[in-house]
Amino acid sequence: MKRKDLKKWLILGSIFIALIALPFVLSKTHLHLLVIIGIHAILALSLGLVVGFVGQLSLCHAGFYGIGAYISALLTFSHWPFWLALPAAGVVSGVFGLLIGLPSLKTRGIYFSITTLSFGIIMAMVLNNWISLTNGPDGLSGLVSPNPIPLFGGILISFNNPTSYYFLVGVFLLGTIFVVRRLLRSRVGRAFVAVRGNEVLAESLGVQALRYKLTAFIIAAFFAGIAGSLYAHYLRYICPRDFGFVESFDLLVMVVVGGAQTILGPIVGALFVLALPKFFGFEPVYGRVAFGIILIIVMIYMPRGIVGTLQKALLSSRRSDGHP
Amino acid sequence: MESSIFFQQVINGLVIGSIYAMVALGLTLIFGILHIGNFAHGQLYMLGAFATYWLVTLWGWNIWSSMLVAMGSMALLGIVLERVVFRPVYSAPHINGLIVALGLFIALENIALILWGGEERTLPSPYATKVITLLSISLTLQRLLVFIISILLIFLLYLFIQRTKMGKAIRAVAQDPEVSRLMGIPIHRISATVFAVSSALAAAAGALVGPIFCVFPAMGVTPILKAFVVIVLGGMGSIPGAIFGGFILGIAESLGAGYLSSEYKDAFAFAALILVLMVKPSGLFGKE
Amino acid sequence: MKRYFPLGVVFSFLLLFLPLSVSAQTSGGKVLTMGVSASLTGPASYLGWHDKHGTILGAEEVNERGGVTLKGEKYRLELELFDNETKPAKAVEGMRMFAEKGIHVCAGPQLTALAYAVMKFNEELKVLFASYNTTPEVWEQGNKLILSGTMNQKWSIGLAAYTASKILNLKRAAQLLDTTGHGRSVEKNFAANFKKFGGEVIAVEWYDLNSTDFYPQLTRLKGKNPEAIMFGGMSAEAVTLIRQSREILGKKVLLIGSDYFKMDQLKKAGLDISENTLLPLSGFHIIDSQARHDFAKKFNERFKAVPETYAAIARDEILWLSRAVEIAGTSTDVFKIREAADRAMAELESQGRLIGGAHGGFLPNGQAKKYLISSNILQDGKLVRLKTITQLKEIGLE
Repeated sequence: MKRKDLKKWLILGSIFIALIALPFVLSKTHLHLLVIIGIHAILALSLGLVVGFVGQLSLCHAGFYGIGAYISALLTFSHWPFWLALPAAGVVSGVFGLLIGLPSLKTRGIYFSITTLSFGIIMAMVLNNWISLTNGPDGLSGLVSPNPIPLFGGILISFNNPTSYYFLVGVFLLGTIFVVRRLLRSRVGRAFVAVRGNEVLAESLGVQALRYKLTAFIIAAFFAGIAGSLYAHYLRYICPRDFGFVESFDLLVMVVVGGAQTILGPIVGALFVLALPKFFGFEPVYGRVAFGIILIIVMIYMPRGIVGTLQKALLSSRRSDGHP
Repeated sequence: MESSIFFQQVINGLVIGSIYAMVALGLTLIFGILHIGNFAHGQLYMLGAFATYWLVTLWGWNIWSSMLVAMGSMALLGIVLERVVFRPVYSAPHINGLIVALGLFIALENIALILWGGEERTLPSPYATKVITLLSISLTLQRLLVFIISILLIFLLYLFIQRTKMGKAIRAVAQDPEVSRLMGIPIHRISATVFAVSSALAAAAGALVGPIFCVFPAMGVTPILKAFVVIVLGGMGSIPGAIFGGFILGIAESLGAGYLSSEYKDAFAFAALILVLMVKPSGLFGKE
Repeated sequence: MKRYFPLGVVFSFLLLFLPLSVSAQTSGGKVLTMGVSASLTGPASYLGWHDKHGTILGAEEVNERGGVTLKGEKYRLELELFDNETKPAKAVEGMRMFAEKGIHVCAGPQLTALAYAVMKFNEELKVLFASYNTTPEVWEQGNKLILSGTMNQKWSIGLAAYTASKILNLKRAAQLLDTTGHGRSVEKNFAANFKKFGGEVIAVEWYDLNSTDFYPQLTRLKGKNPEAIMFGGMSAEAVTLIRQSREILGKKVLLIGSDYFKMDQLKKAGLDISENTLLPLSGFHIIDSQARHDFAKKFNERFKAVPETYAAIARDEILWLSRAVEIAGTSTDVFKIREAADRAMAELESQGRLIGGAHGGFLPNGQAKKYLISSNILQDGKLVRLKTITQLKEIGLE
């Protein structure tokens, strides 16, 4: 038992060290991509909470992402420091999560998907048309970078470069993983995952079910808002088009292809979806055809997603090996 | 003047409503049989428009034969897609079908983008430039034809579903797939037929609006989203629901855009859907 | 051990794309690199194609005349092309990339939305760029480091307003515009100018840039009975807009196009339908010089297409940016280059080499002092020229 643990920590440790070393080894372009992947991993993980925990396909997640980004941008334009705007963005998105989740969670299945889709479209439309607030389709440019953090000895960590941002996003990603893990492994979480998709069993969980589902939905929206703020102050430019239903679809693809009921799944999904188009060179269109097709193939042959299928395979192979 | 503007908006609404009805009809038929919300249906609308466009501009065919050929080829494509993409997920949870449809939706739109680029093209039609004016309401012959032909096709579909043997089989499968299968109805052939008919309808809709709006790869996106609203409001799987829902949505949108806000025109449909589902979470005429 | 297999998959995937993109280093001789930010893909790819090829010919012309001479050394001019995909975020990324590579002079991004996004960063990145976007606000709110490649809307809209009210005697106009910054700028400019010339804007309707259904807005406008309608839109919607307008409003209403409406679109919509449409023509379309004809010929031979005015403007941009670098004696001190740009343009103009329409040197805010522009109306299938100007004061504007 102890030897197994030692191996486990050694592997985890070396991966951890590798991840820390990565930004000093990679080119700026790749590092930039990793930051974007990291932000989307937070998004995908939080959406995975809804898909895995609540068991429904939410198609408005990019709306929360967008609200977080715009709230953060507007607050910093009003001279709020980034470090206050960030949690504020998360909280506001969480509030929208409540406002949208409450009515939406009364519906199920395709009705839930279409309801959330409708909310998502309306959110994107408001961002696009409320010009006095959001500047409309042209977006907001010239957003500030996060204020530098002073460390001991007069050292200042500044965030207007991909390396610092990589670590910033990494910290938040770890935080998201931690929270999602706690939720999924809680007593309630495991109950939900077990009955996922089975309406009759779900009923037996009682009225409380709605409260837990709503909580998960709100937490997911909160993290999406955080991701939005991180995104806004990294790229320093945002526009409504980044937060429409195309983005919601992409996030869903990340969750489903990676594996909806796993923790690693959405992260792998984000990596996969965002890195894949790069393999196809300069035209993003080819990448999108590829992952439309991949989505179909995965859904038909590996409905649990990449990580989910791998885990299941490993689990059954272990069992057949005679391990307990 | 005031009333003629009102009637003009209503006419505008009827024309666009007939398109919504045609697309929603195909969508609801597929849902009735497979219980899958087929997002990709919107791309068959787009591909039908493109097929017609190329036949007219490259080979100089007249618009009617082009439309018929486009309908036929999209029917074939529909059959292929049903076999290759949807049949494997037929017995899986419905969520999988939705995701598969999403994947197809993304793939088809981007294939069109690669092949033909994103520019908006106008489908040439001799009817698009002839304007009819009746009691100070004006519309082109093309828009009138959209309305008339949609009604015609919808009526033909209605006859097909109600009066033919195949139509009866489709209704049987929609009502109870298990019993139908036990009674020896070939489910797969029914699915294929439904896909063929739905796709042909969508292609016709695309061909009809090509001269009025534009032909471009993203043209199917808004119609399919609206069609989803229509079938949820009208009852998923309900044919009269899709037809009437389509026309009502078209008129409501047009009047909303005319008297409330034209920038948020597209939002009315989705807002209406949310409001209805809050009161009745399974749709206006929903069964589940 | 096996449980961490998924992690291993992730890790090896990460390693997989360490094999990086190599940026090709050009070899041989001294090279001066200038950036070109063009929309090679995305909705404006048509413009981007012309930008790209215009700049290529511009660079060739510079090199044929001995390249760029700095501190006595001759440098071959090379272009680093960046595809901004018609996306503002990408345009910003491109600007950052140029700055990192030590490229501080750039042609493009040309479109309003892209320029708006980039102008918040180019000062801190110290990149000087030339742009043919037409929104006055970019010049008013922008910074010292943007140079104008063409007229802005004050010219085209001002001239259109002048023509409609003073020459055609129309007093009631409506506007149908998109909600982008470009469209909103048109609304302000046209309303102000039309009023100045004695007219009145009686209604304004808006649409989202990707719409193709304008019937609700047009029907509302019909209720207000306008004599003219100002369209600010991009060329993509032109055909649809013209047809739908004629359908709902009939032929008596004057349709006013901004700089994006072209004769091509009028033909596509149908010349009889497009009758009674007002169009601006500028620069390359109406200049009649040897340099202009040479360029058109070379473009046609090399790229098998008729050059759009954008190709000509982009080519001009390369010419005066290179000459400005030469006069300033530096390719990195952007403020010096900016100062030298005035003289550069004046020189090229005196040599008769400019073909894009902008001439007369630059104003402090980067706009050119003079443009060649005319307003034309489609009558009996032909464009009839109503008024030509090179300076705004000719029509009472400044």
